[in-house]
Amino acid sequence: MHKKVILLILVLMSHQLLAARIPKNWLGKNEISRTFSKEDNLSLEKSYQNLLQTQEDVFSKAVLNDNRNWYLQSIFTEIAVEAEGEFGILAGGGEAALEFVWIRKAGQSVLNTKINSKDPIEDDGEIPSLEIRSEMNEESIQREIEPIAQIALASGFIKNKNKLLRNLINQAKEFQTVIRDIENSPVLGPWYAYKYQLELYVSAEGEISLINLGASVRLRMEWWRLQKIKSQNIVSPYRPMELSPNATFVSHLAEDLKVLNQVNLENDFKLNFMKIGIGKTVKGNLIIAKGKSKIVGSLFFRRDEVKPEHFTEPKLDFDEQPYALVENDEIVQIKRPAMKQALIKSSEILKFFTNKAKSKKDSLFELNVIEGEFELFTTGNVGLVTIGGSVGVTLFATRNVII
Amino acid sequence: MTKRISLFFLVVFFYSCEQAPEESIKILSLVNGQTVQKEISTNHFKNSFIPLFQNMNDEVTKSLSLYEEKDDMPWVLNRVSVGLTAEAEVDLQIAELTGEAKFELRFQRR
Repeated sequence: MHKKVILLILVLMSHQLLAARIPKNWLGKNEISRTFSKEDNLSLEKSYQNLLQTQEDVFSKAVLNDNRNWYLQSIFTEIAVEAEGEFGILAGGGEAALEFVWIRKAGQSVLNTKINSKDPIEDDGEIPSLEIRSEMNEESIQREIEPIAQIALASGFIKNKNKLLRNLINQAKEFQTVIRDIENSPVLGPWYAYKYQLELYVSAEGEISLINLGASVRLRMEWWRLQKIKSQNIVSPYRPMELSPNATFVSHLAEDLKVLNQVNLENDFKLNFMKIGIGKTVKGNLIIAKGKSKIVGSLFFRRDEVKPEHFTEPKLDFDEQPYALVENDEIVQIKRPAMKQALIKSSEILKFFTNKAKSKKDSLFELNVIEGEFELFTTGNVGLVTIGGSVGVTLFATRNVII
Repeated sequence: MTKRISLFFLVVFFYSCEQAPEESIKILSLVNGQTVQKEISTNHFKNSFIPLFQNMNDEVTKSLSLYEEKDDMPWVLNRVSVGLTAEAEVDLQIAELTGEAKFELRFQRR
């Protein structure tokens, strides 16, 4: 009788082991461990590969008509993880389960090459964007704003044009103070901030809010740095009084991202982009934010592919300054070593997904960008974001993408 | 007797491993703050989706071929995307992924 019970338990346990779930430690919610632990999870591997294989089959087996001026360029799918670690394709809740993108064939429009080489990581392309540069004066800001304001007004929702224009100009000036700080942050290694975005929600009266308060038209302000420029004004090591708090914040993040250099991905994937949710204190200082009501902007970093020879990386003279993380109404400090550990753990999790993403050579489509969204916790822990969670850090692994 | 029962369980176990259930894909959705999970077989996913995907590509490219770019246009249509989503509490089969299609047109200034 004893042996019978043992065997029965073994059978049940075997079925339990087959359940494909994301390991608890990768979710980071209730775990003390801040580091990545590779758990033996063959069923997770199998389920993930089944999901990839099925999508590849679907996209490759369809006979697509290519004899027209437009072609299907890319497909995005969103894989979600629920609280217990079950994962699958996300549908509903306003999210597109699958997104298909068509662009014109080369030669049909001179604009194609320009737009596609601008940024290999796609975001919500439908939001009208104002491109603001630090050197713009009021007149050039007005010129930038006018056509975008026309698009917003064309919706018929916004009634007060003058107020909208005035508010957009004020917002652009405030935006310029932040981008000047970003531009003044010294480059301390291969990673540098190249894009800053601010989401704007315009009410019917033309008032602008940085958080979504209901019925509104969505606009975006954007700043780009197309080339990494080494700051010439200050000689390293930099001291606190030589840099603004925001420039320091940006430099520290770029410097800490260097820990990702030690993570090697397989299948030709490279870890070369990062996005982080940004909030602002009353004084205007940038902080890391989580939760839709706290994030007022997104800061993007990228890594240089080419490492210059004989390059001595400059240093900051005040390395111990921690990051501030805001959640609900609480601000906590995250020390830089904890942040570095969070980045390493996130990249190791992403590594699992890239290392299993092999594409067949004769496939019509190839998986070229894997975006991993991670939640930062006030404990300093980090984990894959689950449904309903707040994204703090997004890492992008890309291959066959020209930077 | 005990040995025979043990053998029976071993046979059942190996048989169940051999007869693995058909592979499936999970569809997750957030409904009123609660996560809803549905599982559909991989074959069902493929069989439903391939014709849908093919038709959609055909219709979109056919419509877009009617668009003409003129030199005096300040804005040029450059990118079109269609998102397929499913809303509300539905029996999530692949057909329901067509429940709501979101079109996005991206114009770029010259």
